[in-house]
Amino acid sequence: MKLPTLNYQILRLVTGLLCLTSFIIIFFVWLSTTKHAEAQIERDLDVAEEVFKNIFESREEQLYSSALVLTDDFGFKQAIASEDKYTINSVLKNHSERIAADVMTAIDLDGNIISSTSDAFKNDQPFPNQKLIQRTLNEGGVVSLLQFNGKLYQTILVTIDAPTTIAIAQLGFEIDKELINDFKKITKLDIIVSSSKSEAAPITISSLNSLDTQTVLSSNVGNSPANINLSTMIMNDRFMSRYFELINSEEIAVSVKLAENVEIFFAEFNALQFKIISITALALTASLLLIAIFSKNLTLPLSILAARTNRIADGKYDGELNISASSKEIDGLISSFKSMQSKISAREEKIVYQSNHDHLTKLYNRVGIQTIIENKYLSQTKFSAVGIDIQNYRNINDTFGYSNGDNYIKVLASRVDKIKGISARVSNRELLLLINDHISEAAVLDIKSVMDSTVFIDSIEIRPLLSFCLLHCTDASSIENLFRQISMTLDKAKIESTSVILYTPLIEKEYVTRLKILTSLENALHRDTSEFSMVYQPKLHTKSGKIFKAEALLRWNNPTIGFVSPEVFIPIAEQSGLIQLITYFVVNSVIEQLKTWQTHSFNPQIAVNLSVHDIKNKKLLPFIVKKLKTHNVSSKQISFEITESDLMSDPKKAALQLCEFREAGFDLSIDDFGTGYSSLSYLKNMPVNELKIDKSFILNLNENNDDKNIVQTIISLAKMFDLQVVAEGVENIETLNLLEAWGCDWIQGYFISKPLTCDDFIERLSHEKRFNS
Amino acid sequence: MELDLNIIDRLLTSVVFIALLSQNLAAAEYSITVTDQDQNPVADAIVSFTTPSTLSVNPKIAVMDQVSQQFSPKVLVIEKNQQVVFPNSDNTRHHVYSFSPAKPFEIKLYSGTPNTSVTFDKAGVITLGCNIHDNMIAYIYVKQKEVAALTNQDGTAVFKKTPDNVAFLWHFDMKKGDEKNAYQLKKIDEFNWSVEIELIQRRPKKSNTFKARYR
Repeated sequence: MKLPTLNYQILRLVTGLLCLTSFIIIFFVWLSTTKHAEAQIERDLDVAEEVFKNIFESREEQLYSSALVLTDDFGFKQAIASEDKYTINSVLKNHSERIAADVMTAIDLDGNIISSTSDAFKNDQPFPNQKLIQRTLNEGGVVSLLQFNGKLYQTILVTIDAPTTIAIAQLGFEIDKELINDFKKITKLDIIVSSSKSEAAPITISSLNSLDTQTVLSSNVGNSPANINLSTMIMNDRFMSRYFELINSEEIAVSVKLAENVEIFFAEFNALQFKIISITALALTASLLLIAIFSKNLTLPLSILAARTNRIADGKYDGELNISASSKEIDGLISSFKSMQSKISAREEKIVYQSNHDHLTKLYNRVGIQTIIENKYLSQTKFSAVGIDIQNYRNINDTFGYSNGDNYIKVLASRVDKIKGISARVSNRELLLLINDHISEAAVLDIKSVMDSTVFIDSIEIRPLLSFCLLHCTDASSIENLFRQISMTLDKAKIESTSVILYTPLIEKEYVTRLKILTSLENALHRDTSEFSMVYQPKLHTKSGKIFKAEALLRWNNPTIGFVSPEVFIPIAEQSGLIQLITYFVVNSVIEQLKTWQTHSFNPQIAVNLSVHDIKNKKLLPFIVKKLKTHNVSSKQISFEITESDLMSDPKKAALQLCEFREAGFDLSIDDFGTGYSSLSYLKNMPVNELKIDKSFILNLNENNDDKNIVQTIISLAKMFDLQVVAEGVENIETLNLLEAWGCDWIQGYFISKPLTCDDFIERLSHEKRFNS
Repeated sequence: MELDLNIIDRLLTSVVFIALLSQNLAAAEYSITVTDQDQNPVADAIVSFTTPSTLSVNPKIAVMDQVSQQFSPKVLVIEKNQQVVFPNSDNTRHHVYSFSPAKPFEIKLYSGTPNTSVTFDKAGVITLGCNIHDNMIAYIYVKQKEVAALTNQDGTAVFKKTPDNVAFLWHFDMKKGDEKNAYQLKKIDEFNWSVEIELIQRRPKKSNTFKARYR
């Protein structure tokens, strides 16, 4: 629905009110004018009627007195009595001139005209109205109206008494235009006198023109007072009239109509109406002007605010709001609007800032730096990206708590921030530094030296453990690639424990391979374990010269990738967490194999390698125990090897967990001993019963004196701790002899045997049995 | 030859009176009572018979007095050639006139008894008026030879002879021309007759009704 504008609504309201008021005023003015006119006309007509009647009566009296003068004239009477017609004629003429009578007649008692001043009355002819003669004779006189000769007369007939009636005198005043006009002069009203019933044609004498006369005569007013109605107002009937009869006898009826022109009343009314309408029109014009001003003051600010709101909706907060308010409300609205605008602007700035910045370090976050990098790509600006991986972030959190971890990050962030360039925190433990132009690895080392200095938080000292990678913008084709490459490079640094690494395409290649291996490995573990096979490398017991033990080793032959060395896939499995599945697989396989061997009366002890993840897995030990029990295999037939580096990553925890294994009756061995910086104190408490010297010391033992010293020392150390010693990687007789001489308990290596398949291993054992027996 | 009509009247009246009292008395008097159409007695009517009467040789001078602005008597019966005097008993002047064809005359404004009497030498009815006082009207009936008598207030005229069956009647209110008609007398008894005449009006002076409107 389209809403009307405020201006229109105000206009409509004002116009409506004005028009309503005007109409009401006009109506009431009309009402009062009508009432006034009614009363006035009524009064006028009353007065006029009275005046008319008075005039008529005074004329009648004049006629009477004239008649008396005439009839009292002795000479006249004498002339009548003596029928002296000449004298009669001259007396009548003389008298009529004296009193200005229009007609004067002498009539004999038989009703015949004796003499008259009017030519219409012929001598010796009967008087036209014999009834009047009779009435005169009966009553002595009569006043009436008479129509003859096309004229209307007010007439008097009186007897001429000498002293008895000897004749009748008739005197008359003509009712003519002059009389009517005199009457009009007095009353200001129009008058129409009309006769009817006469044998002759009716006569109408009017002060009005013939058209108006007809109008008035045709109006059926009767004796009712003036009726003023709407039709009167619209001037269909311009005259209000009063009707009365002067005479209505058998012979003649004469009526009078007094008419008042109502136009004069309504002329005033019309003038007033015109004024009111003019005032209304003026008021409307004025109100239009006012509305225009009002509109400027009210609706203009509103429109501007509406437009500004749309701008804000589009996210444009700029621009001063310069509207002058005309009212308190508008002013309030404008100031609230201004405040809203600035607050929204501030809030959006904050939101934008927050969405682009890391809330902890105030560096750019991934989204923020991504935009910057995008811009750099777009503007083809050369830059270098230095990725920094905080390797010990999790460790710090775990050890010192999150607040210290946060502070640690903050310190590192502030250090990065001080370096010239744009810094960001792209993930929890990764910082990124963008530096214009390509920089060298040496520059990264400089950065590292800045970053690596010890962090002091309160009383805590933290040595940053950071790895850096360097990429040039040209290394990556897109921002996604750049991040991926940084991630890959840092990953490599982490895996290889390298502190500074320069991105090379090889890294990506390796990563891809690694990824492929990981995918295949995962697939194999979950779906097709037939890709895996177990091999067993026998351990020769030097004192008995027999093989009682063997190390279980996993072989993986993938149909697509081919044979993958454990040295390749085991670290990947460890990093990806797949190692646990591998361990389960190996444990299962070994226990089932031991069960099989039991039927052939072979009961060797098989060593299984455990990673640090395995030790931490609390479900593993119960699983193994249960499995052995199910297969009825002794725990003595299984032992576990844990690398020294794994143990040393968290020696206390490792010691506790290994205790559980020991208590379950398993033999434990420290694998790759000599490479993991073991401290003797840890070694002392470690619940193991065997050391396995790292093959790097054994391979060239017969030729390398250092190795000889180390190995000899380890052996003697083991003896002191009452630990068995295994040497792996023995590939020649000289080494074997040396080790035997030094008292090494077990020998493992290609010189004894390469890792053997299950069948080969059985054959080897049975051969030895045969050999021994 | 003059006859004092008044005396005669009085005499007659007394005779009638006596006659009424003693009808069988030798002095024979005959009464004719005149009534109008409403059976009211008509005074001042003149009953006449064509029977000739003996005229007085030297009649007396008759008197038409004017008292209280009225003529007195209202009707005066005289013989032809009898003289009438018009004394003025009022303290205002009168102007007695007649336009009657039998004897037009006028005695201009006067008071007291005018010097001259008027001799009526033609038979007929003379209407008398006063030019100053319109209400003053009187009639003088001038006999030719006939026997005529005026009715009294009771409407009765008295004759000494047995009247004829037919009489002529005159009254100032009779319809014009009726005086020429012969009226059949109605005999009541030996001495009394009656006759009915038609009067046009018995109302007061006609002009009063009209003129009163302007006074």
